[in-house]
Amino acid sequence: MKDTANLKIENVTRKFGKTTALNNVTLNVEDKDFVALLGPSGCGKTTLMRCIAGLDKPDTGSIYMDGQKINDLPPQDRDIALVFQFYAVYPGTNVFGNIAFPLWARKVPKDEVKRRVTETSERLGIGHLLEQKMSKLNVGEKQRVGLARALVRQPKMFLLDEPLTNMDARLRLIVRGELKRIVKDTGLTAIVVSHDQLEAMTMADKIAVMNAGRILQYDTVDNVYHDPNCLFVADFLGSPGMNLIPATLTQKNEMLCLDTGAFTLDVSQHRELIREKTTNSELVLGIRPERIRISDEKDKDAIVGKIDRAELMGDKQNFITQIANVRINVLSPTVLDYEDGDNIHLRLPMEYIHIFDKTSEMAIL
Amino acid sequence: MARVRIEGITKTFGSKRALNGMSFDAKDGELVALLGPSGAGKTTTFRIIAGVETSDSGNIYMDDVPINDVSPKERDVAMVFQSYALFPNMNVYRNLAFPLRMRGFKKDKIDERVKETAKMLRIDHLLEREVTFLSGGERQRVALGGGMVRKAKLLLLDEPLTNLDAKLRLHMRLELRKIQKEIGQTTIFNTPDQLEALTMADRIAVVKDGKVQQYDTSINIYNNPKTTFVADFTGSPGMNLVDCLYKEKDGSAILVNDGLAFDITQNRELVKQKASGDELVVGIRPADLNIAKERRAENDIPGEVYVVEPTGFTQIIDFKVGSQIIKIETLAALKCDLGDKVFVAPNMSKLHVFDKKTGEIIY
Amino acid sequence: MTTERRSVKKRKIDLVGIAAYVFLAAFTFLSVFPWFWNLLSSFKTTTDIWARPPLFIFDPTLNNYYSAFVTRNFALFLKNTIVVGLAATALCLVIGVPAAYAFSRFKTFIGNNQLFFFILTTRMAPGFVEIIPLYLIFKNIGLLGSPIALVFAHVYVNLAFVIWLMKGFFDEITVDLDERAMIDGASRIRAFFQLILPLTLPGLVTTAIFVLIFSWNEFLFALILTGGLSRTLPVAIPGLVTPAGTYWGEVMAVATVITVPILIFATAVRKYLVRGLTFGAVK
Repeated sequence: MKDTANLKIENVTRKFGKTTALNNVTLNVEDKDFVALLGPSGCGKTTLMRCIAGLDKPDTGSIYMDGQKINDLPPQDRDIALVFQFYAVYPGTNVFGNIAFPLWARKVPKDEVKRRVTETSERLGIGHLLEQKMSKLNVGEKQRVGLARALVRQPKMFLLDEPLTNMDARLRLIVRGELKRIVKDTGLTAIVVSHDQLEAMTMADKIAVMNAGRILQYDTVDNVYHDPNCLFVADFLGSPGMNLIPATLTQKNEMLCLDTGAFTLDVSQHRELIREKTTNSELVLGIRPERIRISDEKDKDAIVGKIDRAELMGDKQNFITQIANVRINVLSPTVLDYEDGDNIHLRLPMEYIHIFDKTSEMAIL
Repeated sequence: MARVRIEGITKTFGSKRALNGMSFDAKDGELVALLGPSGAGKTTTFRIIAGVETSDSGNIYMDDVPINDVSPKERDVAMVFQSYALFPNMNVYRNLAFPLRMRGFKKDKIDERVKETAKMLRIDHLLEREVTFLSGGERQRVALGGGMVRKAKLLLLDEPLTNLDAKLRLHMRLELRKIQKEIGQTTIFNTPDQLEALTMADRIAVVKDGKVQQYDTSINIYNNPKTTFVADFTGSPGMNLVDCLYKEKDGSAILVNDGLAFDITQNRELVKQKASGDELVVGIRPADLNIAKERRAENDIPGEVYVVEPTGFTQIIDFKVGSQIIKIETLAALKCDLGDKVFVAPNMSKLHVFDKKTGEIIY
Repeated sequence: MTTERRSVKKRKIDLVGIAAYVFLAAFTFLSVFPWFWNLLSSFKTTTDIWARPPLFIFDPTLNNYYSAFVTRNFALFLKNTIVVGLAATALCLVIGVPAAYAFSRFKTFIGNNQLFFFILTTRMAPGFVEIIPLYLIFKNIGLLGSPIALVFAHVYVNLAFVIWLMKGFFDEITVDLDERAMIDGASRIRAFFQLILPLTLPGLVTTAIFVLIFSWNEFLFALILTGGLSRTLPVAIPGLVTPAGTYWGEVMAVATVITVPILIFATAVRKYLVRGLTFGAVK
């Protein structure tokens, strides 16, 4: 039904007066990829999306769709469907009318309209609702009407602008999975813009983490989470975020250690790598809360900390632990028997340790 | 610092019944959460407790003394609004001093209290600044300070963390509780966020449609929800709720729905006693379901992967059985693709059964 | 190619800008010149006023002022105008502001919207319709010709506007502030005076200025309700137009005096005026 839809963004820069919204951005979205543009407000993700959609134009650089340069193509000719936050459904007309609208606007012949609307709505599981008035639908159904309306145009690509932001927590959970499934089912290439790292991780295949007009890391969800290439990415993903502890590289006899002031970690095995990547001795030690192993008092080599607060998070527990002047989060997948004020024995497994250069903020390990 | 008790508060606005018999209490020094979706009546309850709104019926007791007819300024209740309600033409110092001035404190006493409170909230370096020049986090602290400076018997916090960004919210969750425990002021706070309530409060009152559905400690609310609403509202994702019919087959009692069957023979008597009919709801939390690619036991439930949602070191797998979708939380190590055939085994000791008509728990 | 397009755009903007300036300059000139000529003429002798071609350079004299204000009692009329203006403004504020606050805060009392609308509709009747009844009422009470009658009329005309404008300002301030003040220990009245009212200062100033300017210039009601020594300036000026001829010099002098105080006042508070107009009116 449709041919490939890949997107190539090359060295795109966009400035607004003194502010550089996009700074030499390059991005490759393959056919059928579901990519998330993730970053805090002001990072440039919305500007990039607008440039892709045709609502804005880059100052320099090019955007190619399937090999064709689309910089100068107006939005309506780009064959991209943009889905807004509220799905913008027309309350007055019935479901059929809502979905058919973009086709009517393009003067598509009546029977063709009927065929496409029926086909699309069947695919989204709302084929039986075509005669219904919009007011009679629940939120999930309304959302699907909005999606159907975007799909019926048979676009090459989907752009979703913060689709879950304005929903309450419960609805968000229901819609998230559905949305992902629908995108997968239709096999479309999709780009979602979000400031919520959980939204990005659950929905997309790949994430482009952005900040201050640049893409910091563009990789699969797994890699961005488990192998962040800089401090910003490491800190931005995950809730609670990665523990980031400043540490100094010191030589203790034969061993190369990271001294945090509260405990030291032997990193001799990575001596080569560290020397190669930096001459700085001011580094940052990173470890995700869920990767810290909780042992017991019999463990003589364990790091001992004091639990400031044992937070119940449902099935899990987050121990906010204080070790001398360092405070870290320790996430346990089950609820344990510790209380506020108890001592806790921890181990930081080497395979989950990340090391960052404090100045350049780039990952070393 | 005081004990507070609210009994049977009702309130109607025009044709809308906002509060339908609100009852709960707070012990001396306790941090209580009022948890519920927006529109459940949380803010209205606060306004009635503070005295700026009157209830149609019901009583409020402070240290066992009824305060229904006492004017707001006599009640010894302090409230921090969700909008912060900072006076825009005053600086931080004057905003904090305001409640003390209104109550006729002497100048040097005011100075002492304001500085003490500011220090505790770490805004003592901002005392001279105009409130319009503060960041969101700083404004929130000033608002908190305004509530705490009076050392009133009861402190009410209306959605204290809602307007903060994600990172700040995480940080303030801990700080707020710490400060509350330090000063020992009886505090009730309001939130639509179940995680906030679970992590911060000593006890949680889960509210729906102007009524408290369950009032208990975080652990009990999570592990022993009394109604389907509480079960679904707590946890992210909430508890899976599957409508089932009670059937007897070959001497066993099972609850069935489409491709699902849960053997509850063990609790047959209990169910027969408490259920109002054959329609029941089976509840099980996403983390209490085991998923694998091959069948490990006879009563494993077969189905397919509908969608996979990675959440970091865990993932949520939407599991499709017949027309039902059940969410399962499992470690990210298990790699699944859309459409994979998988097998799920519920942890029967964590299975709950609710009555469909009443929504109440059976076990 | 991009640079070319950019410079074309710049040129286009300049054209529009120039046209705008020209228009504004012309408009300003046309508005200000009559007043300026008025001011100038007030210092001229009658002959100079009528001189052809018009004189910009001449021997100034204060005769007109002396003649108008001392001989013809315009000082008294000036006093009347000031008294009526200030009284009307004060009354409008004292009655209107608390009323506006009530409308803003107490939304639950029955018929709030209807009452408010009703008050607004009182301003929809043209002045002429109300003149006769007011005349008769004051005649019967025996207050006709007294400044009290005029003050009443001015308050009557402006009150709805004052309430409407101030309600807008009060609506801007969230009710949370009132409630916080009350919970913290202030009575509602104390909260109103010490906290809420100061926040509406731009609104108060704007309202006061409007009422004052209205009253200062008002002609119709003043004409009917005052006479003889109780006349205000706008009404007294026609008295300078007699069958024997018009005392232009005096007219100019009085006209100047009418405008100058308002000009000074409005200039002094123009910062508040702009804020007030944009804040309140749009809502």
